[in-house]
Amino acid sequence: MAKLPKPQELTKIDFKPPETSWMDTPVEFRPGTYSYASKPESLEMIGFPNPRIWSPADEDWKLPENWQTIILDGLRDRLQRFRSLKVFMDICVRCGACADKCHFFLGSGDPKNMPVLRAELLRSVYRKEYTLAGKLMAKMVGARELTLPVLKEWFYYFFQCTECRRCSLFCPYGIDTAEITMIGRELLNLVGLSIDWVMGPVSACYMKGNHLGIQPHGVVDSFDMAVDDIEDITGVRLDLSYNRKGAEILYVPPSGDVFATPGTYSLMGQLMLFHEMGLDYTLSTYNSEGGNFGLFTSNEMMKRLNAKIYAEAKRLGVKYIIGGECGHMWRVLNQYMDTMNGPAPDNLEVPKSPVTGTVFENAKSTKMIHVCEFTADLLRHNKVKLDPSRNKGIIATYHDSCNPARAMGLLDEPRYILDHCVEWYEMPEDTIREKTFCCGSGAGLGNDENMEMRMRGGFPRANAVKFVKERHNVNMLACICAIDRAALPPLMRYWNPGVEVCGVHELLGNALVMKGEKKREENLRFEPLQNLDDEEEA
Amino acid sequence: MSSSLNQFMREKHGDLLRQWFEIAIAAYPDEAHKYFVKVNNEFTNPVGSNIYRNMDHLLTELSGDRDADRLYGHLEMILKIRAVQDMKPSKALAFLPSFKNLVRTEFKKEIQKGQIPYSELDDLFTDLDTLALIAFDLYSESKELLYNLRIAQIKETNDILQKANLLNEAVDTSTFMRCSNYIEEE
Ligand code: SF4
Ligand code: SF4
Repeated sequence: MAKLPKPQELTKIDFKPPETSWMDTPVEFRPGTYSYASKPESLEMIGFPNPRIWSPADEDWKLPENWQTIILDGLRDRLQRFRSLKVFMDICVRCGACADKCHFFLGSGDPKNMPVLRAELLRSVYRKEYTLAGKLMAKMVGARELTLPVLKEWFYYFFQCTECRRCSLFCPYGIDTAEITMIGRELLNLVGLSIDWVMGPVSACYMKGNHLGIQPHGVVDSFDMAVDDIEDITGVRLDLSYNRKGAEILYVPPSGDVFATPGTYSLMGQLMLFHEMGLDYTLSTYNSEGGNFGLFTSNEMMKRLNAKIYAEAKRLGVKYIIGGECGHMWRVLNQYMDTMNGPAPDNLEVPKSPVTGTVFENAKSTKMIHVCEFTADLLRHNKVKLDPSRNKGIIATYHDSCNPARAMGLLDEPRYILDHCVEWYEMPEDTIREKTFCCGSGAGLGNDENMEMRMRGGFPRANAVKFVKERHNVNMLACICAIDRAALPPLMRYWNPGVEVCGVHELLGNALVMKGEKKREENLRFEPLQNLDDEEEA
Repeated sequence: MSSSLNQFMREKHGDLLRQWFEIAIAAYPDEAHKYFVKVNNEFTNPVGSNIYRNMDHLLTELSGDRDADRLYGHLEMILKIRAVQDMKPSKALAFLPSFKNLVRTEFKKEIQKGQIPYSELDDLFTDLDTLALIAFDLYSESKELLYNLRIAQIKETNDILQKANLLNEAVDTSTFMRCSNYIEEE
């Protein structure tokens, strides 16, 4: 007869299984904590290896027989091609400064979510294969062979990193664990290991230009709906143009803002502003996606998907490009596009605002600016008429989306826009600007099956929102990333019910006074404006 | 509620809290311990600091009025956190019944000498049982919310695809099932 354990014993059972070191503890794929496998059709579409039906929870992953050789050769190749990888493999002194900087570790306590150990997953194999010490005294120097359990661990933890780069900020050597994850995923892809929420969008984007695989006429339909809504709310009818050759500017939004709320409201705000400024711009139905899930797949895939931006800019003969409120899109544009697909086509020029005359020297090489830079410059020159009282009732805070904040330093422009439109409050210092906490759902992890992991990883962010919610009655979380706008609403519903999510241009759109508009009674969500009572009283 | 047990508990608040918190965070891997005990880092250690703060309030309440609403409020965050942490309910809730043992050990002498009447102990233990049941409600509610969020997301995606006439193409339920084997297992 087995005796019941005491409650204080229960607390320890199964989280502390046999006292094995991290190197020998196998992973368990429990529903809610991992993402589903990519579908064979997606891999076939883009010519990726080993398309098949499989699941991470299966014993047999249906790998090619020589999978070890494929991965090790792949690693060797990349060590030669990317000097940064070689450096990252060699220089970590395991000082631990990064250990408690990852939101997945902070939310779970799982040591393998410490960035240093996440990187060690790859490093331990590197040591075994490519260092003398690793070959001679494996255990002592933390080297291990690439076995199937190790591979499963790679999959589990490389798809538990949102590539947010918060950890790299704290590493004295500048080791960027996100880049290690990127290489880890690239290697996994060599043997057909990836997730549906990355490969689905990648293949759809490759074929049809956006993550959901919506065709050009569907894209136009969505924009038309936005135009209709804007007319209902403001009385002003916008005249959009698609694929128009000779336009001055090509505007590239993340498709999330074209198809899904609350992103659509932010898109409406941008379209209204462009109209009001009389901007000569066009939309592309082929390049209907600024986002690039290739970033979460492999360098080559990222390059393939990114190529369409310049190609379309060239075809249409525009002078420069404005990109929408997207996160990872901007990491690709700001950090990789120039090297991957540059130099920019000859018809492109250094972006110059037609309204203020400002020349955006910072975009000299890419010829592409962020819509927040564009708008902030307009505000700075007093070119936009705003009535912030239309945002009455909204008390906002601002979430620095990881990529715009850490990968391009876009910190003050969105804040400047908020300053002009709405009452808002900063979250605590350790959780904003460069040190911002990730939404917990980036890099392809924002799928529904991964919900538990997302709530765990998003907790540090949500906890900071909770603070301003309690202190200042914050009820709106503004951000400039389409993935955030999809990921943060459930995060708020779990941790901070009552807090909604929006893009900064939604708030600008609410406040924007347009020529010829009717008396505004509703905000961009068709909710009654709260400043009306004041007007009546007056 | 003024009783001798409560008086003793208030005097030993710090000691009890320290030990009780240790029991609660023993649920996490050893490697996390040194980070989770930094309870003053409210924003950079949200799990440790939230659990600590709420346990602190719980203890104050347990050794005071034991107001139901306030107790509920302090439990809520702890269980919300634990419901997303790969923890079975038995482990997530174990810190509550464990408090009985803590009291028995901490006040062994006083109990033996009769300075703490049995009825007071019994009252506290009964309240802890009730709290454990409430905590189980909170844990399950959080889990339910998780599933609802999942369903909401599936629905939202489907709505978008339906609008674009892409439903049959994009949500291929057959591969969805095959590639997940989650639904089949459940
Ligand atoms: S901070 Fe840098 S050097 Fe220190 S353990 Fe982390 S990755 Fe290694
Ligand atoms: S990049 Fe972000 S998610 Fe990945 S290990 Fe670093 S902090 Fe964690």
